Amino acid sequence: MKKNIYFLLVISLALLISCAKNDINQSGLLVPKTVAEDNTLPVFELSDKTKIHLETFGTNTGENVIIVLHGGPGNDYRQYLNLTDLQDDYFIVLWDQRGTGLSERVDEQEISLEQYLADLNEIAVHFSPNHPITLIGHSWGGGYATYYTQQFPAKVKKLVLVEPLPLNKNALDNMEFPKIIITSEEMSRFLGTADFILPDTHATADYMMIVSGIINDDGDYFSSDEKDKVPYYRYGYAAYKAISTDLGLMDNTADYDFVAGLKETFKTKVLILGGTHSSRLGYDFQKKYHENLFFDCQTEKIENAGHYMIVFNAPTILPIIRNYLNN
Amino acid sequence: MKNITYLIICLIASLLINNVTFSQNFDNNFLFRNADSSSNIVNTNWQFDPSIFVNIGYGKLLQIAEKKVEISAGVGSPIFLLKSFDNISLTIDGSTFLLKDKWNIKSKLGFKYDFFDNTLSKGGNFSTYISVMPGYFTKKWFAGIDILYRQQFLTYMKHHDTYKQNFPEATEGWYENRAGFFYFSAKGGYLFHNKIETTIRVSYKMPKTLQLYPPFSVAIAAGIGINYYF
Repeated sequence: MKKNIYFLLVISLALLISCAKNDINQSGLLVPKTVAEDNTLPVFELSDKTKIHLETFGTNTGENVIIVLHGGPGNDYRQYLNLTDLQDDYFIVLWDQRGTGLSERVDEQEISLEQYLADLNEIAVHFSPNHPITLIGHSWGGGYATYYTQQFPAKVKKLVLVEPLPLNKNALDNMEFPKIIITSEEMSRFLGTADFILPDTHATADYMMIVSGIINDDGDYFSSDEKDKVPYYRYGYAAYKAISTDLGLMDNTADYDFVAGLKETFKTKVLILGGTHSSRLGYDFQKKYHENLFFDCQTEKIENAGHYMIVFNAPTILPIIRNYLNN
Repeated sequence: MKNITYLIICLIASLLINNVTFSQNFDNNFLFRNADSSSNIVNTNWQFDPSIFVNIGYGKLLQIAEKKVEISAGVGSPIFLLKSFDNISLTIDGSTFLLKDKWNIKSKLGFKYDFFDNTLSKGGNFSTYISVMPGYFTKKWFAGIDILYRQQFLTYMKHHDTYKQNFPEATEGWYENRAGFFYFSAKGGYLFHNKIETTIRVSYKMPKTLQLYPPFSVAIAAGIGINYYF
């Protein structure tokens, strides 16, 4: 009798496991496929054969290229599709940075600030070989854009920074970091999931990246309704970790400076946008810690806007960007 | 007693800077030694990780093939989710001592089912765990090092609408899950009045890949427990 019970238990367990046809580590099930796995997605191949998820909008005249740099690190370009409204006058390049979004997943060791600089330079030269480009960078992308401008000032025509992350150590030291609230339900839910999902593959790590909400903070939003409405394709844990480590953000050793020497080498007016409801990187922060870092800077206050103003306040900010670009 | 209280307070305070998950196991080791007077136990465990997880359980001492085996079952939940009660964990396990000396090894085999509901999905997860705890066990107190390995094998996923809006093709159903975690714990306990036992533990969690994934897996947790024998 006992043997029969054990036998039934083992058979039931085996049947249950055999019902699981889905591999939690496989792209396309728990998280979307990347360009390396889905050949219907728009793709750009870098010189080292790494495949980048990239889309262009508008007509390239050779002098009107705008490259958009998304936030994160480890986010993607889906939330910037409103910028394609500029395509009547400009050629817009939206792309997911190496190792994130729907770009091919690569080892963490293949991602670094220097590599990101080379990637952006390659894309810039490809689409605008003879003329400087315009960069629009949001959050981490604002830092990325400023870093590129610092390294290649002659290759940048105009620079738009939408609530860029702290551009140097002084700004970083004065930024209010997101609070970890131990009593929050989100924390308990995240810890519960982290108890059985191991982020040892890109698929599970990217899934956990969204569950954890490590990129987002409640204070980033104008209203709580906005929080679930920021669109995304897929986050990239390896990119987040590699770039955050390079910046010194993982171990609090950050001493980067994306603006050193920029006042002397880049004298074009820079446009910074800051929202009134963005607690960390909003207008007040940008005005106080970033405006004076540039030779010429126009800092615009966007009323009733949070960190994701490109998604939720496009009708307000697009005319400001267009006006800046046209002048 | 004051020292024990102080130690517990220090453990809790030190964990506020850490970030890890819980494990859910009874830390009772007197049932075998008190078999003449008790064969049942009720238990509550509190785990700090740094959120707080609370577990209640029941154990029964049985004689199986001339071996004393304790069968335990427990139900637990993160304390800040008790209101919604949608992240509960159920365990059932059996444990026994391998030797008859004060220096002994306790072994355990168990199964766990976690209900979960996170920002993207909800569902459940099956896992099994095995542990060995070499240690020193007396009538009044015990101390040991517990090495537990927990292997996941099945996870059921149903995605929330907010996730489907971003990824409509997200697959629902049973997933094969090969994740595994080691839990290394230093444990100790003291028995009062032959009926009530208090236990403490400090645990270090390490994925089977022997690699941490910050900020998802910082590895220290602590627990306190109270057992009542009858």
